[in-house]
Amino acid sequence: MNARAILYEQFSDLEQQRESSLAGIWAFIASEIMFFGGLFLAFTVYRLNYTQAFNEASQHLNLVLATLNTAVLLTSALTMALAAASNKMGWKYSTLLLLMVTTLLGALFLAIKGIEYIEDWHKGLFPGSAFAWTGSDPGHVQLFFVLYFLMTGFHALHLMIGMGLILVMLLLTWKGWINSRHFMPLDVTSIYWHFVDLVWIFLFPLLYLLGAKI
Amino acid sequence: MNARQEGTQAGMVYVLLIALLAASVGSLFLHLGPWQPVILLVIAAVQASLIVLYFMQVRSSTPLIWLLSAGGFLWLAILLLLVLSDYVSRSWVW
Repeated sequence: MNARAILYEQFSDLEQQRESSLAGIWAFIASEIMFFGGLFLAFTVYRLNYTQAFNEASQHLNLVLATLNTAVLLTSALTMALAAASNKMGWKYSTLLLLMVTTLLGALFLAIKGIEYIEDWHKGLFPGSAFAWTGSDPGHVQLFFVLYFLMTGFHALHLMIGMGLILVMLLLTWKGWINSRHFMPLDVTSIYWHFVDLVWIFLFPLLYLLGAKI
Repeated sequence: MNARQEGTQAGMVYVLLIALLAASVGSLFLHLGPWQPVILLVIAAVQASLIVLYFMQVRSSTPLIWLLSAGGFLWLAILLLLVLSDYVSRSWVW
């Protein structure tokens, strides 16, 4: 806890002030957990029923790019955590730099994901009229790709929202509205960013690793 | 804990997270068969716990935040457990 933090008048102490911000973001994250939870549940149930088709489908994804992307996202989590810590130290310029690096790593993740999507499209893996599967059980393979594009797509959407929030924090830090005495908005943004990371931590093994054949 | 220690700690958590990523991809080369999903999910759960406890600051938070953050995962666990207990046991014949 930062002793120099500003205490706003509606709170009785700094700990309560921090707690109310954290309670807010965690209530939101609980609803997000349920949103992604439904998709994870659907994936698990279908994978249990159509294991063979799901494994074959998974082998057509690009494991190398996905592993690289996981490392990119974990690195962005580090730079985000360091940005929050650096802001509390009062190091404005290193905070700005770290926030910029975090956004750029987010953009790099999206770029790599985009390359993957293009590759998937050209392989005829996108569900719908362009779907071209010559192997067995095309129906259930298509089901895998419906879930794959939904889950990674919603994850990418959350990542973009996170990048937008970081850009706002970047501006507020630049203007001096966020500093070592007023830091909770940045901390809350950081927690949201880490939640987006958390979703990918589970998407990666479920979509890419479970069916992988090496 | 001050912000400087927070930074050092974030660095250590990061090293662990990357090591665990290497472990989960590396485990594919061991051809663990039926144990593969278990290993992968355990590694993911450890990574998730590290992120929640350290990066999301739950470890240094008050009991109320522990309760709220655990609450989200508890409801998810109920959802998964009840639905999967149905699907997994459908083929059982007594």
